[in-house]
Amino acid sequence: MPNSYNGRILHVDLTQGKTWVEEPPEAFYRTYGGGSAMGLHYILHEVPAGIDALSPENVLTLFVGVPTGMPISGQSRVMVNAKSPLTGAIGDAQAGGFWPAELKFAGFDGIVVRGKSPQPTYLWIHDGKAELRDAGHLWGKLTGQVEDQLKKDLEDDRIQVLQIGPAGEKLSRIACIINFCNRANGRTGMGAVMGSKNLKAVAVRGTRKLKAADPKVFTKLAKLGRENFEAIPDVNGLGIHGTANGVPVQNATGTLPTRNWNEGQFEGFQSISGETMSATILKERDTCYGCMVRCKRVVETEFAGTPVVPQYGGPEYETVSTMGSYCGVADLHAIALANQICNQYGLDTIGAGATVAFAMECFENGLITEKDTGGIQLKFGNAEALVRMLEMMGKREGFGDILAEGSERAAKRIGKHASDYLITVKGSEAPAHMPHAKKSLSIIYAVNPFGADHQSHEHDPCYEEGGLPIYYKRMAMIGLDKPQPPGSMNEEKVRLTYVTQLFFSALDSYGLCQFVWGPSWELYGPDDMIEMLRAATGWDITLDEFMRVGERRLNMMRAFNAREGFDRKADVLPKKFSKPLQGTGPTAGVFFDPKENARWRDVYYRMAGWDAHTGNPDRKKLASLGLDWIRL
Amino acid sequence: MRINVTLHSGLRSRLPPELQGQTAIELPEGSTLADLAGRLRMKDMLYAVGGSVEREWTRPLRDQDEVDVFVRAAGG
Repeated sequence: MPNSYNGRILHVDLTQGKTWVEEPPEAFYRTYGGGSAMGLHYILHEVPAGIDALSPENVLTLFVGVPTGMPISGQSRVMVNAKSPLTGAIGDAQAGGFWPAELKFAGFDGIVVRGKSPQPTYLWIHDGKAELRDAGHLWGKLTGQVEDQLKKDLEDDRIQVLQIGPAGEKLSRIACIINFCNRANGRTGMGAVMGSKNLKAVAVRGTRKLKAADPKVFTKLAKLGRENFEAIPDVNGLGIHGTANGVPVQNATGTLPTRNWNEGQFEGFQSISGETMSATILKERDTCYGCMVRCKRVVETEFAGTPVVPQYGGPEYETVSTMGSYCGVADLHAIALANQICNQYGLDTIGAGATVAFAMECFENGLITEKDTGGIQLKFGNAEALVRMLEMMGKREGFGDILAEGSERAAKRIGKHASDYLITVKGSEAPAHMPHAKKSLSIIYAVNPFGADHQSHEHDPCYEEGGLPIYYKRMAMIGLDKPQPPGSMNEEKVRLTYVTQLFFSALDSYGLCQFVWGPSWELYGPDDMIEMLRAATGWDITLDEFMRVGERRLNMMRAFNAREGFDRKADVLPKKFSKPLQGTGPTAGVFFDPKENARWRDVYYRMAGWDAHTGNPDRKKLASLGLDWIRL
Repeated sequence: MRINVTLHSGLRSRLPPELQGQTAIELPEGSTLADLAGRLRMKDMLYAVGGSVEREWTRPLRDQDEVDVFVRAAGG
């Protein structure tokens, strides 16, 4: 058995009801690192161009990383990929929890799922074995009910369950995959792909012990982690108050999307912040396997007579913002219930919250009325309307059926000028970080292969003057040694975007958490990370090799999109961004000129070594990364 | 003059010992944001005055100003 990983990948053909195991050579692991890059290898080999993402021909991959399961913070991640039913481009979503490490302990590094089961099924993986079982009794049930039932059926409370909710069964294009009932592979509709295959859940349990090449390094790094947690205030605040810790600073900088991005400051920000959550509804801090940061929230409260229970965790920053300020809702109890509904039904909180906010703007402007919504006053700030609509989306009932398709398809159904209110790139709703002050987001949102994403590069404040010395020390390790003036946009900011995109792309391949391993404020820096990867695997891996894996993944994604007909014409910001922001604060009046954005994208494509006309890699570029087998 | 200071993200625990427990800081008239940051010993943080971010360290403060102090990394 190799160090830190199993050397075993599980293949599943749901149409045939078969499973088999592949044992790839070490070189395969070294080429991809695991995670998203490894999944893309199978997708690019097997998925024909132009298929319907919800057809049996789509391939769904679930991969953990080479260091997943090691005794260190920030390693228990699962990366899910398939063609996205939301965007038609590559789909990609990551989640933490305990399921990823448990899959490793059960003897596998990843799962490749093909075909479609004739009836609802679930996959039971335990100690090196895998079997498909009937899931007829689980179909239609909420995630919490399914988790409880599977633990009862399998007579083991310690199994970990990754599953879809009713939204995924009903093929909502903003359906997510959930593990632990509250850790979501949220983006790009991966839950709908799993639903289209009639695969309800993947339950895992294992007792295999993973071997590290140099265990002493893990002891040393654990000590360093404890010291850094106290010394670096950014990661300390994240641990203590969760990701929603960021609400007040987003508001102060004018980057808290408010009322569907009409404004960048929200008058109700204080009542939805992480600190307020800590002081009111927080029951406990939670963690992923082996992580000392403990940024996950568990809340307990009620809203409008409905209890919010600990099983469904608590809202992250993205959920607080998309359900909160994005919708003009300042009620943390309602947001907690919105989070619970999404986790019960398996809806992506970003996609769902942003889609409701879009519908609210349509309602406010008379494009839809109570007749359409079934009597719901879908106005900004109406917390009851938010939670009612989310439940209708989860069940695909009434107007919720239209919104469950995501905002772009809903805009087509609504017609008139509804598309003016969209905050989407490549059909995927934007998360709750605004490029109006963090300017490099205007590049990453446009060029990212799976749509606007806030976790695909390091944000501007960590490469702007005035920050902590540790930001700059770590950034310099990846060649970023010229911190820029706050709020600036220039070639160096494009370099920040591209270089840190490669870094984050590699994190999503090796399966490392971006709050723990990173190039600036995180618990560990790039040097610690390479030391950890060497100690886990015994490989003589370097930072250059790590970045190369990130570049490989990025080019694989872009190549997939090229095969689907995507080019730079799809790399555009929402139309609404070209209008000045309303409201108060430092971003009031700020807007984006599409021509200027196109010029910065030219710089980005040049840095990536891609064709300036198409914005895509050519055969030569792919060959330079060992990807000459990809047919464009 | 008294400046009302809100420290976010657990920064309160990082106050110098002589300021522990204080929510208002006494500064001489004519003090600037830089003076406040120096007193707090938090020059690498992000500051907001009156609810919006302020990057001019020479900005004069006024009695009863509301100042927020943040870490830079946010959300996720």
